[in-house]
Amino acid sequence: MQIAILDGTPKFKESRSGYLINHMENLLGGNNECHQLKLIRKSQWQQYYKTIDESEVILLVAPLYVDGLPSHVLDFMYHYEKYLKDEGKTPNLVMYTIINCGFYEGIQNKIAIEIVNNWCNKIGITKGGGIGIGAGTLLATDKPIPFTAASRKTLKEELQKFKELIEVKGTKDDLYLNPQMSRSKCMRLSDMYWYFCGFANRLTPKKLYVKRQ
Amino acid sequence: MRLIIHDLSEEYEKKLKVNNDMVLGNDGTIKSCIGCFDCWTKHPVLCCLKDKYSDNPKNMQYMDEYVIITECYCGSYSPFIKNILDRSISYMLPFFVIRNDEMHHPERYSNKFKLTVYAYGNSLTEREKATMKSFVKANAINLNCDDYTTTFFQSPQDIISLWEGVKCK
Repeated sequence: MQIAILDGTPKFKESRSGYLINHMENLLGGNNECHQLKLIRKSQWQQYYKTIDESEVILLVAPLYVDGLPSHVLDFMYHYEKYLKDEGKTPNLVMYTIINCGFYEGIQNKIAIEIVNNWCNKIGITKGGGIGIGAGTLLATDKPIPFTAASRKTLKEELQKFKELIEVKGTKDDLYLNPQMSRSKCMRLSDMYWYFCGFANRLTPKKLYVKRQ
Repeated sequence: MRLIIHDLSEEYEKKLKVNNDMVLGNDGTIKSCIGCFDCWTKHPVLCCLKDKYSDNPKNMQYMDEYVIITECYCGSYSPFIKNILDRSISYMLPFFVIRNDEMHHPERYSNKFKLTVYAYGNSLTEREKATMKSFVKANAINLNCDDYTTTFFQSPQDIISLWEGVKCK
């Protein structure tokens, strides 16, 4: 089965979404032909439409941006719908979604997944199901440690189940996952992450709070 | 002061500005957010992409109302409007606080504003409207707004008719 994996991160490298995509591709790749389509590359969209035409499943993996989908993902959805209308096509596809956010609560990804579900209804494809992941900032981008950590045990198990669902093109209700750690610990680690990013750019914590006029 | 962002055509833009409102529309020059987070961790409140939208997060500190006029696409803002919002995250701080029993970003500036969204679309489904209302509510919580409203219209002309009616009062 051919699967089109839509990479919805605006980053060109080292993203949490990229990490999740690689993990899903490792899970799905054995019996299926997976194609990663980087949506930030707008010049490639015409080619992407053809890849999707030949696929049976779409898997969108994207970060949560301002409580919704990143703008270039919306732009792709808008243009893909126009492509279908112009070509008079009705695709036979099942769509799956993984959204990750920096907040602890996986449910904060609900609106982004609903937007994708509304899009599925709009263009006439089957909504397969979605996973909203909390504390996405704490997923490493280049180390496989998180999935072996206790705090991510449930995520690893659910992604395995998601892979099994995708392979049979099944449908299920959307699922929202918090990490297996306290919210206060998650907040401390997440704040520390931003302080470290500031240090890497030679900014003291105080300078991150600047109120530019 | 009101900050008005819209995705309407130029013919409507002239009718939007009242007094000292700031109005930002789509002239095709906006650069797409690249998710670098430099506006949080390298040069706070400054977007590294230089265009007329890069000052938006800084300008938000002066407003008492944020007006968004947008096509409702699948329950979301239009891609252009969402791009402005994506590039305005540095109005808030990157860290976290608890608000409404959830993690959210704390405010950087002391101003509070009302979030007013006018969403238009032909044949919007009830589901799309419900998603849009939830979306605006979530944004209002994250931006720590003191009030928010979402109103739906069939077309941009309906919004302008309402706007001009209010201006005359």
